Amino acid sequence: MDLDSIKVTFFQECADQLAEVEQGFMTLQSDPEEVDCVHAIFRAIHSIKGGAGAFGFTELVEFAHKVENGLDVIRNEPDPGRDPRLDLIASACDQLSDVIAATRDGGEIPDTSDFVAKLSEAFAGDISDEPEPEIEFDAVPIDLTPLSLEEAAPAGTTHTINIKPTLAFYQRGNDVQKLARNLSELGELSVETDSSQVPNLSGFDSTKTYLCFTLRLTTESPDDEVSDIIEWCEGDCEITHSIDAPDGGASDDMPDLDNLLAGFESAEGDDDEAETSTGEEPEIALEAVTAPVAEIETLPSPEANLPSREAKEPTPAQKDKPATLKTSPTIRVESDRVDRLINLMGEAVISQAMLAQSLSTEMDNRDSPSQNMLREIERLMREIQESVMAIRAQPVKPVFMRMSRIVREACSHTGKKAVLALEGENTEVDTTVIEGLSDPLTHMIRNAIDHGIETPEDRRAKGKDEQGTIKLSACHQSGRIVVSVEDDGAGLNRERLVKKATEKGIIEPGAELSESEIDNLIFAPGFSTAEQLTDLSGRGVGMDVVRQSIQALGGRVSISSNPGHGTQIRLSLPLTLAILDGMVVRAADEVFIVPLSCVLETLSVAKENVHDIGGKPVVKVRDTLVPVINIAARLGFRTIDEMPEKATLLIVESQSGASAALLVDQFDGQQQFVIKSLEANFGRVSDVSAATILGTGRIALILDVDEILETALGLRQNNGSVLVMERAVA
Amino acid sequence: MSQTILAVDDSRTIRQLVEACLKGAGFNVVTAEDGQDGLAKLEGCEPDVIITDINMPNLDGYGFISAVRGGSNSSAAPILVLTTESSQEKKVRARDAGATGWIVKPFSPEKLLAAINRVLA
Repeated sequence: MDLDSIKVTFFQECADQLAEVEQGFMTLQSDPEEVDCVHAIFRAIHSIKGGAGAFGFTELVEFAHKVENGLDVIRNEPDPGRDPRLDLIASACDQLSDVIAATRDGGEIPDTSDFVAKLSEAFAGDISDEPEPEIEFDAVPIDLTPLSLEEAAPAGTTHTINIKPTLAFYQRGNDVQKLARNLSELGELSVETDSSQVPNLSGFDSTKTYLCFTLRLTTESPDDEVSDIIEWCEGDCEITHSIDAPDGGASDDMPDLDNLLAGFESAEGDDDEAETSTGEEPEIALEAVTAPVAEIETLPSPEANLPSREAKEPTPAQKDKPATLKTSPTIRVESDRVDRLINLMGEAVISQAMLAQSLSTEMDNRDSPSQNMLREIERLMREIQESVMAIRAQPVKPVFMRMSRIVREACSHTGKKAVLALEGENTEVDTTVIEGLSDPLTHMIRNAIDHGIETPEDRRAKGKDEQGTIKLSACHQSGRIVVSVEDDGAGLNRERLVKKATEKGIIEPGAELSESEIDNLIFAPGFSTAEQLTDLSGRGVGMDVVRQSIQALGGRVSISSNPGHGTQIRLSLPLTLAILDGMVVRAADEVFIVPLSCVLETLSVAKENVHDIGGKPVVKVRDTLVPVINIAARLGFRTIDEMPEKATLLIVESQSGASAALLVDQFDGQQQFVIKSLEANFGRVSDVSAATILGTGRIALILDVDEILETALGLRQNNGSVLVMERAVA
Repeated sequence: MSQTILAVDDSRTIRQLVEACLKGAGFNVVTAEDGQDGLAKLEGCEPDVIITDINMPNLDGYGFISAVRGGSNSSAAPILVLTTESSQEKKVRARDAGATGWIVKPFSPEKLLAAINRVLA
């Protein structure tokens, strides 16, 4: 494993940690009692810092360290969830996420000095023991090339260490032998063992310690290094450490001790298991040392539990989260691999359909073994397909979580107050859909705060809670995912919408529009209701861009508004972009696919039942007149008047709720289709969203029902048919 | 037979780094995601050295060390605390729980290996 791949892991993990942070802030917002969230946020930032340090991402480390320090102060307070400085931390975490992104992409690291100053100021009183923003935490880039420990240089300062280990010393995995070995790596070491305390055998208690040692080290290494080694033992034993000024002739200080414990030095080499005894008297002493150690190491040490340990309060994490946080194991797979699988699956589905087709023409007997087997294969294929699709499915949660940042930023820009509430964030949908959701959601939420939510004063005046709520929810609904953004703000001002649309020439003056049609005006291209472009939502794009991007995902947008009480925008999206349930229809000998999700019902109709009202064909469906769109004519395969004696009507609905009847010659069945993009290979074709390959191997076009309906009916229904005629003639 | 090291850290990055570094030095490495996982892995691997983070979910480093030292299948293997916390108080707390020593993150492979060599038998 090389460093680069670990770096990839690091950034993936950063994303996970940031999501954790967002989750934490979200939870705290609704329940400040959830102190665990503060700890979780702290841990996440801490982990980011730790990892970043390993790669030498200095800016990231320093900034994360700042944020972590602030969090550390907060988490140790009596009521951390209500600390007002959490807001600052949340913004700083947003900034941190930018720093991480810049670090990952090799871009310019955003300037954090502003936040650093704010954090220093906010926590000035609390982090007093940390003099200045000097960071003791240095990033040390890691080099994974194999290395060997260097030989220590001889002679220099003389350290004298007297040590009397306690039982705890051994229980914590320490050992005088190891200590001596470690010290000997720094220079010349001699060890003197005082075994005078060792009782005779009858008085020997294996759980007690009897030996004292004097270690003399002559080394050129800095004193710190010696202290570092001893440090681990401090507190577990009686230890004194004295340093003699360097005098070069250090070894003179140690008359004949060298040979006493030369064995320790031999341990420095590769023979770790070497006998550690050479002399006469020390031999006994060393045996005495190793004996109790060995015994304790294998002992379950029941009474060895020191009281200090038992008295330890369990940490909050321990208390609150018992053992069982079971999640099913996961693997990370590159999405390319899954895509390849899905593509292959698509091909398999087509081949299977082709096989079914050719077999069915050869034999009519539906109960023949081949036919049965074919149906079984079909069932299996569908199941495999669903499983493959499920691999790509991800909960929308990460995108939803990101929106809380948008809410925060939008609020601070506008001076309004709003919280984000999530619902159904675990709803799963194809990853491509998730990726495509981020931008439209961002825009819709900015818009909701900028235009929907009132200022705190206005809200108070209206008797509303000063703080607005943006509710973001997701759910599965008849094979699609419905995402809704709902605010409890002022709602749409229909009068102003109409006025604006008239001014912009989007509608004709005096046009009669239903409330829903008025509301949907905000999706019209070039429409913006803001009196002046604000920094936030008015970035030159309007809700029409939202609609376009949702449409690009095969989705539909609709809006409903309750003046004075808020606005709800609903996005309905397919669960996957790769497969489509569709109806096969025929018109003028051409085969077309109509997405099943648009079809409300199918009817057969005789020619004489299609009436002409003002040059516009309509059909009466249960007392309602429905406009008819003659597909063959619309697409230029027939003239407008040409119509089969008997035809099939598909009552379809566009995303804006408009409905019409598509007139086709016949209906051939219903099937799943693998979507093959036309745009990638050919170009944008109006009225057609994509293509697919039929069981016969023939290519069929998938109709873009929304586009057909909207251009045919338009927002101004009266000249829709003109369009059809023009096209038909052309 | 190569010696086994149990590395317990909730950060995947750190786990991979420790693993890469120690495997390169010829150790057999077992990793665990948090204290609880660490205790579970402990049963099977009988490590020669345990390296653990402090700040972890489910069961933090202090709890893990206490459990290693005090539990029914207690181990006296040296435990090194691998953590960014460098404050004295945390070191003392870790040692009170039963840790042998500590390595302050970010660690260099030299630092890590040196620390392990210090406590290896």
